This record gives sequence, structure tokens and C-alpha cells, in this order.
Amino acid sequence: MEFTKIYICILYLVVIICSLIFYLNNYYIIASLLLFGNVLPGYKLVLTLSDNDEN
Amino acid sequence: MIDQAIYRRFNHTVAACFVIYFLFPESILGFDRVYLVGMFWISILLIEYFRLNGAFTLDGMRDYENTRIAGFVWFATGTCMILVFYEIGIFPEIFAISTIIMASFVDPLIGEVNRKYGNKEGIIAGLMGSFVIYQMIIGVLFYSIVGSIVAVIVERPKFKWLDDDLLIQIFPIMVMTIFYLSGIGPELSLTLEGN
Repeated sequence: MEFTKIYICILYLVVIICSLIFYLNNYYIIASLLLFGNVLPGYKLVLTLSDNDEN
Repeated sequence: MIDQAIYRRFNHTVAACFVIYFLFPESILGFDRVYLVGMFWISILLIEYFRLNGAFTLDGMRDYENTRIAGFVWFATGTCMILVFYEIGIFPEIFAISTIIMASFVDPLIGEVNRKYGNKEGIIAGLMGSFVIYQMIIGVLFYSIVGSIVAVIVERPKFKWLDDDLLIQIFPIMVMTIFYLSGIGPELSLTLEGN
């Protein structure tokens, strides 16, 4: 479980860094797609993680 | 325990970040960047080999994947095939990027809509999602329509030894490339720079 949490944090970082790199290279559409495409599943995952911590 | 279905979906959508490969320099430490693809694919196969042999368990696996090749292996295989064919000069860059992003987002979208609303709604969501992504990246109506229809068609059938994670990448890009190379499809800018 601890490993999975670290892995999820790395995934968040990967999304942010990749979006940033595309943005800095002026590929705004790709950057937005990467960011917004991951927002909903990423947010839902945070919710389930925080629910677990509360329990 | 985390929600396995959501965890699986998130892993799927993060796979869109594979397109960062197209910003890598042609040569890394003196080696052609395509070797990275080979190394990545072999490491995925090794992880799967040890997982299937019970060396460790991974979160987010479906029950039937305990004895079968997991979806992430099929997806990685599809992406690696696209990248290798792109390096060989068969698949245009713009088709490769758009298809990898489309497959990463649309497959979980169809799965989620199927689960919540039903199959018909899943097809509509898949068509709309893939069309919007293709249109945003390629920007040519013909390829957006062809790509989205093929993506949704190949996502439907379920095979025991072949996964839709692979098919949803290979077939749309193959059909679009055939249309382009045969001259049936309209001209377009083949690289990201032109879009």
C-alpha cells in the first residue's frame, strides 16, 4: 500500500512535468490535453486515498 | 485499500504522457532514442513475467489477469509498436501522438460510461471523445472521423489472448496511415510543428 501511494505521487509528478514541458515548448493543446485528461481520474483517486486515511 | 477501478483508470490516462518521447533528442548518450523503447518494453515484459509467477502482486489488476497477460502490457506493446513504426518512417508523427493520447483517454472513458450508463452510451462517449482528441491534435475532419470510428469498433470485441488496449492503438493509426499514403485521405501537416 505504501509503495502504491509513492507510485501514485510519482504519476502525479509525471503528469505535471510532462504538461509543463509541452507548454514550455509551445505545444499548448498537447499540454492541456495531458493535464485536463488526468484531472478527473487523479482527483477521484485523491478522494479515495483521503477516505482511506480518515478510516 | 484504494479503489482499484479508479486506480486502473488513472494509470491508463497517465499513459498519455508517453508522448513526451517525441520531445526527446534523436540520440541519448550516443544511442538512438529508439533503444529506449526497446528497453522500456523489455522491462515491462520482465515485470509481467515476475508478476505472473507470483513474485509480487500489483494493485489495480482485474481478477482474470491473475493468470493472463495484464492490460498494461498490451497497452505498452501498442505504444512501443507505434513508436518503432514511427522511427522506421511508416507512421506520421501527428498520427502517432494523437493516437497514443486518444487511446489513453478514450479506453477508460468507454469503460466508465459502459459501467455507469450502458453500452450504447459507451459507444457514443467513445466516438465523441476520440473525435474531439483527433480534431484537436490533427485538425482534419476526415482523419478525426475515420480514427474515432475505427477506435470504437476495435474496442468492442473481447478476445482472451488479445486486448483492446493494443487494438485501440494499432488499428486507428494503421487505417489513417493507409488512407493518407494511398492518397484517399486529404493532405495534412505530418509533424506537431505544423499544427
